[in-house]
Formats: sequence, structure tokens, C-alpha cells
Amino acid sequence: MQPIERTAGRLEKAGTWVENALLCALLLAMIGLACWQIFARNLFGSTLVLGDELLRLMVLWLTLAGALAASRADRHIAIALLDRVLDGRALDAAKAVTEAFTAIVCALLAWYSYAFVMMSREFEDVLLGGVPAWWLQAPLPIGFGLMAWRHALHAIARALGR
Amino acid sequence: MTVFWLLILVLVLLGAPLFAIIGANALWNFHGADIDLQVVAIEFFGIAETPVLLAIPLFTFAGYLLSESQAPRRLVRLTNAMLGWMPAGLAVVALVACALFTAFTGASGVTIVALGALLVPALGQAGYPERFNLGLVTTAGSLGLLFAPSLPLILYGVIAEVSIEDLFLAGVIPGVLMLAMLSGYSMWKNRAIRVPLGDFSWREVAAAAREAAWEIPLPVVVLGGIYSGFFAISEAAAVTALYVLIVDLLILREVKFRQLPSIIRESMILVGGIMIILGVSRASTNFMIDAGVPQMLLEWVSGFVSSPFAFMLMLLLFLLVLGAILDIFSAIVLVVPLVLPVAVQFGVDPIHLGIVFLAAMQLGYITPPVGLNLFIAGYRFDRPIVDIYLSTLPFFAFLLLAVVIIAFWPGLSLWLV
Amino acid sequence: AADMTFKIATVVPEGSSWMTAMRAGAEDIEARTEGRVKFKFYGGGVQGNDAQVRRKMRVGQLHGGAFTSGAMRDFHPDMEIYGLPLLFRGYDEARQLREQFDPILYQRLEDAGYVTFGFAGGGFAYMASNTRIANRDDMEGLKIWIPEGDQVARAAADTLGIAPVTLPLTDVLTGLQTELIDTVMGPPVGMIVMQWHSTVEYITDFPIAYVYAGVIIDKRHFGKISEQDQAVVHEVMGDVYRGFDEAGEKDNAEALDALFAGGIQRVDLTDAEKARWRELLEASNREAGNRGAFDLELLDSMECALGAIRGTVDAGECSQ
Ligand code: NA
Ligand code: NA
Repeated sequence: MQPIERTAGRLEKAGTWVENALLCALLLAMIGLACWQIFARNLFGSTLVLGDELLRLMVLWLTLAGALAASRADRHIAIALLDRVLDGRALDAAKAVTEAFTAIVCALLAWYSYAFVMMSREFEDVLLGGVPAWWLQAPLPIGFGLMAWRHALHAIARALGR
Repeated sequence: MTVFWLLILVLVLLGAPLFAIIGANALWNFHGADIDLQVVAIEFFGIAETPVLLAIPLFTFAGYLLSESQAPRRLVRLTNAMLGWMPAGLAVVALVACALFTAFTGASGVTIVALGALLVPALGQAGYPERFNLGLVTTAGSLGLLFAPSLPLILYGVIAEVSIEDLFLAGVIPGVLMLAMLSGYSMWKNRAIRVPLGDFSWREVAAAAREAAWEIPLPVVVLGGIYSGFFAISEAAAVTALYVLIVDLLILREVKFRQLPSIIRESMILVGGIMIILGVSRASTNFMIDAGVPQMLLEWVSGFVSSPFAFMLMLLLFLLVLGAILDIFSAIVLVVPLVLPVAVQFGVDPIHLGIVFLAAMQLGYITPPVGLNLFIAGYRFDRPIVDIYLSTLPFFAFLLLAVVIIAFWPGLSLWLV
Repeated sequence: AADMTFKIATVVPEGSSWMTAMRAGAEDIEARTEGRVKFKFYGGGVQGNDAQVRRKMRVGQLHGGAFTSGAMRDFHPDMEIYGLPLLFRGYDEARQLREQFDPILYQRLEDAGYVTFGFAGGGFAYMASNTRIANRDDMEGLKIWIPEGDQVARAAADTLGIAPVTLPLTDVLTGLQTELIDTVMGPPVGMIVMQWHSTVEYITDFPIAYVYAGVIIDKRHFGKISEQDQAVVHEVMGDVYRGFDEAGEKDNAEALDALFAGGIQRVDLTDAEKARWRELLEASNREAGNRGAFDLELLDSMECALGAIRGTVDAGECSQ
């Protein structure tokens, strides 16, 4: 058991690190690119033609990365009434159920996003003036897939009472 | 069918994330209508095709970064120098400072955490009763929602497809009305307690202004930039983020580089949480449009409501209940697409609707039993939740009155537009 | 053959004369097919922008859409060819050339798997802006909108040396209101229908590009109804579209006058400036064709036919 848990712990750490790096890189790049567009437009009268479209795509990627971080930290927006009155085993059981449910929904979203991306690939859609759209859309199924994985882990941990 | 909805209700009450609930609902409905479920992904991808959304992560990050610096302390000092001389001056200072700060942090609970820690002890030392202080700070934590560039205003503009600049203008007078009513109550409430009147000193104002010299240009840059036409809203957000980053990290050095990743992570957890709800709500809204629900809703409402007055009354009751149950972001993305077409048929201006919507939702933050601010305050000040409920009640009553005035007096919102 | 309700989306606002005419046509079809063929229209862009509607057509949530020439190119690259900047010098040329080339375009669309009931000319697009644009240099530093993914407009912008902002059509009004863009191009009727006119102050009185629109339905779904019913739909919708096409010229002329009468200022170009734009844009059109934006051979035969109409080329020399 122990080596497995140690490996899991390391994976957890590495995952958080990658997540943070991604969030920082995306947000700082967004600030930089958006400011560059303003600067360039006013100074040289020209901008990166694809800059605005790229910024919009980055908003989507950042959404997925942020949502994934929220999944890890169990910080998604929820209504929650009963879980305030439950405690101990009952709370664990309730959490196991909601986490499993969330994992299933994320898995479905990942699956249908995958279908969407494959459809884009089949129709040879392009974005950013020539980049295959499915490359840029691939974060959708990947993000939802990782969220499904994350919530499944939460569900198992709760079911085992940890 | 019924089993599915009962199951969903139980999951909601057990605390399943709202995005999963809304996503499941969209998948289930499209499945029932025999429509390819890829539509959910197609709608979610629409996030990458909505230009103004860029403003949301950028303003949120700037707000979080500001709250990690000494800006909250400087803001309180400056407001105190300018307003502290009034009767119940410190209470007014707390209200105004919280409102200004919330405009930038988007009413995410950050205000209570960042300013509450300064204000509650200061109010206590100045002799205000403890219960009043708790209620004041808990309520003030969502004041300022109607002031630019608050996140909910931007989100409403995106969903309702109305001018965000007009919304910013429309929020000014109703926001000031709320501030004035709560300030008035604070003065009246504390008239008996001999809180000494503060001194007014130009020297203190100048010193506080000098100390806040780096923050004072912010509203000017944001609002001046937008209204002079120099910046788009998303551009103003980018400039704000860069400005705060440079000031706090390089010039004042109040935030260390190694703190940056955790600030970014914290702010993007909020952004991810809101935007994923936006994404799945696009899908659930699309199902309702596909099925013609807005028309059915209009016919249903027209069946028992005939005058615009009756409609507004019903809308208000609905929004108050909604605000008590749902957070402001989910409420906007889920409900506005349905309510807006009906409201327009009853002659409600979409801009006015936005202000009424947000004002009513603002009450939701302090509506027992589930108001978000109540829990944040309970946690932050380590008090039983019932104490917090009781302390906010009078503030709740005055805000409710303000919301009613805002709802039935459209001119208040539309005056500046 | 089965009963069918065609779900058609468009960015044209609910309540516009276009929607009214389409709904009237749909009622006619429903009556003549004894209820076997119905239409359900989603106006005002509620089903999303053109790209989103196209994606929803692929998965079958929608069966078709009404698209402008700029959006039709995503179904077949040659569909936007009449819209090349400064190709036509007036309505007469457009009318004569279209008589000859419309059938070719309809066939190409059909081969790509789509059905249409005819193109409706929507007038010429003019440049509208917050600032006065009387020559190329005036465009320096402006935030000029071009439709997302429009290679012809991209090439034109490159040639003119301007920095465009790409946005989907559905976001142009928001873009104007939030100052994300300050200059747009569109036909007068379109500017009024989409409410762009409320945010601009100047219109440069120089017709830049021919704009048209059409309904496109996926053949996979159109093929589900019987051949007789297909013929009814073609006949009724064909009439509706011919009506739009005939009304287009007059409506746009009136709309342009209304815009100028309503306080928008007219900016005139000198003849020398017009000649300069023509030269620049003809080059950029070729450049877009070279990049594969459309079939260059088709452009060659269209230019030959235009030469014949203008009397500069002998009609016999043109091949199709
Ligand atoms: Na929408
Ligand atoms: Na929009």
C-alpha cells in the first residue's frame, strides 16, 4: 500500500505544479498579448491580426484550467444545504455520491467534446487563419476528462472514508 | 422522468457542483429531444467566440492582486480622511470603502476577507456595538455590485447582449441610493451611542492621498479610458491587470513574486468556476430556445399578469427567492435568457432589468439561510451563523426597500444612460 | 419520404420584413404539402453565430440557415465570389453577370451537399466609421472590423496596410458599442437592421463590395421529403428569394438616403482615389485567389464576361 500512496502523492504534487504553471502562463500571456495589441495599435497602427482570436481561445483554455483547479480544490460553486447538517459517515456518503455524479457528467462532457473535436477534424475546420481547429479545441475533451478523473478520485476517497 | 428530476434535486441539496447539475440537465434534455449531444460541446466552445469575456479573468485577477497588497488599508485611510468627520463617520467609511473595493473584486467574498479584518476591530475600538459591526461588514461585502467594472454587470451585459457601458452608467444612481440608505440607517442607529465625531484635516487627506497615489489613477484609467472611447472594456481590463501587476510587484513591492502563483490560482479558481457554469448554461439555454420555452413562458405569464406593474412585482418576488437560493453568476447565466424576452414584452428596458436583477441578487448574499456573505463572515470572524443572521437583519430591511424603489422607478437607472 | 420540420437559423432579427416573408412562405408550403413540410425559424442569432449554426447543421440539431455571402463561403469557397471588393461597378453589371453565373454557383453548392433557393442581392457594402475616411491614409490606426475567417477581406486589409479586428457578425454591434471596433463595412439595409448605424458618424459614399444572402439546407435532410414536396419548397422559397432579390436594390438605395438624412455624414472620394482603391483591391483579390480562397479560373471567366458587358472584350473570347 505505502509505495502506491507515495506515488499517488507525488502525482498529486506534480499535477498541482503543472496546473499552476499552466494557469500562470495563460493568464500572464493574456495580459501581455492584450496589452501589446493596444500598444501596437496606438503606436504603429497595426496589431497581430490573429491576436484577438487567440485571446478568445485563451479565455476558453483558462476556463478549463481554472475549472480543473477548482475540481482539485473542491471549490466549485454549489448550493448545498444538506451537507451542512450531515457529518461523519453520512457526510462522506453524501460526498461520495455527488462526486461520483460529477465525475459521470464530466466524463459525458469529455466524450461529446471529443466527438465535437473529431467532427472539426473531419470537416477540416481552421482557426487562426489556417491552424487546424481541432488542435485548438482539443483542450475541451482533455480538460473535462481530467476533471472526470479528479472527481472520480474524490468519490473513491470519500467512499473509503478518507 | 420524474425520478430524474427528484434525483437532481437531491444532488443539488447534497452539494453537487452547479455546473454538473446544469450540464446533466442539458444532456438529459437534448437526449430526450433526440438531438446529438455534441451540441453541448458546440455551445461550450462558444466561450471562445464571445469577445467581452476576456474582461472577466483580467479584472478578477487585478482585484485579487489588489486585495493581497496594502491597498485595502490605504483605501480605508483615504476614505476615513475624507468622510470620517461625519456622524457615524467610520460606519460610512466602511460602507463606501467596501463598495469601491467590491466594484473591483466582483463581490466574490474577497471584500469581507480583505477589508473586514481592518474594519471590524476599528469599529469596535471606536465604540460601535459589536452586532452592528458584524452586520455592517457582512452587508457591505456585496455593496458595490452596481458600480463599474463589477463582474456581474459585465456578465449581464454579455448574456443580455446590451451595452456594458450603458450598464455601468445605469448602476451609478441605484448604487449610490443603496449606499445612502445604509449610511442613513447607520447614522440614525448610532445617534444614541456617543461616538465622538472625527476631525477633518486637509493634512490627513493629503497624506492619505499621497500614500494611495498609485491606486487613485485606477478608476480614472478604467472609467475614463472606457468613456473617452480610448479603451474597449476588455482592453481596460488588460491595462488594469498590467498596471496593478507592475505597481504591486515592481514599484511598491508589497506582493512577492513567489506569491504570484497562488494569487493567480485563487483568482482563476473563481473564474473557472463561473465560466464553466456559463459554458454549460449556454447549452441548457440553447435547449430551451430550441424547444421554444421563452414563448411558452411569455404566454404563461401573460395568462395571469396583465400590467407592467404586476409583472415587475412578480419578477421582484421571483428574483428575491432566486437570489436566496442561487449565486449571482449562475442566476445571471441561467435565468436572464428566459426572463429578458418576457420582460421586454412587458415594456421593461433591458438595462433597467439588469440593474433590478443585480440589486435583487445582491440581497441574496445576505438572505438567510444560504447567503454567501453570511457564511464567509461567520467563518472569517469565527461567530455562530445565527449571530450573523440576526446582525444583518436591519441592513437587509433597508436594502430590500432600496431594491423595491429601484424596481419601480426605472428613471433612477435610466437617468444617466 | 417522411414528414419534416426544417429548423432554420439566422442572425436576421425577429420581426424584420425578411422574417415575415420567410414565415409567409413557410405557411404557404405547409398548406400546399398538406402539413407534411413545416419550417421553424430561429431569428436574431439565438442559435449562435454563423460558425455555430454551421456546426449545429453538421450534427443535425439545425437543418439549415440563412447566410450572408461571407458565411456561405464556408459551405463552398466559391460562394463569396461576387463579393470580391470592387468586382462590380453597379447593379446593372451584377444583374447581368449573375444571370450567367448563378446556375454555376448553385450547382457547385449542390455538389458539396447543400440546397439553396437562390441568392438575394443585398446591395453594396459601404464603409461606415466614427471618423471621416476619404483616402487610404485616413484608415491608419482605426479599428476596422472584418468577418472572422474571411480570407478575401484579410487580403484586402493586408494590401491596404491596415490592422483589422476579426469578429463574428453577431458580435459587431457589441464591438461597436464597446469600442472594440470603430469602422465596419456593410450594406445600408444591413446597417440599419443590425443597428450599426446608431454608433457610426460617417459613411464613405463608395460601393465597395456586392453583398447577398441565401438559405442553405443540408441535402441529407432535404432529401427526406418526397420529390413533389421538394419541388413545392423550391418553387415557393425561390419566389420569396426572387422577391428579396428584386427589392434589394431599391431598399438599399432608400436605406442609404435615410442614413444620410438621419444625420450620418457623407464622405466623397475623388476619382483619383477611387482609381487607386480599384487598383489596390484588384491586386488583393488576385492574391486571395492565389492563396486558394476561391477558384481563380472562375474569376477569370467572370472578369472576361464583365469585360464583354463593359464592351472592352469581345463576348466570343470568353469561355465558361
Ligand atoms: Na445568447
Ligand atoms: Na454577444
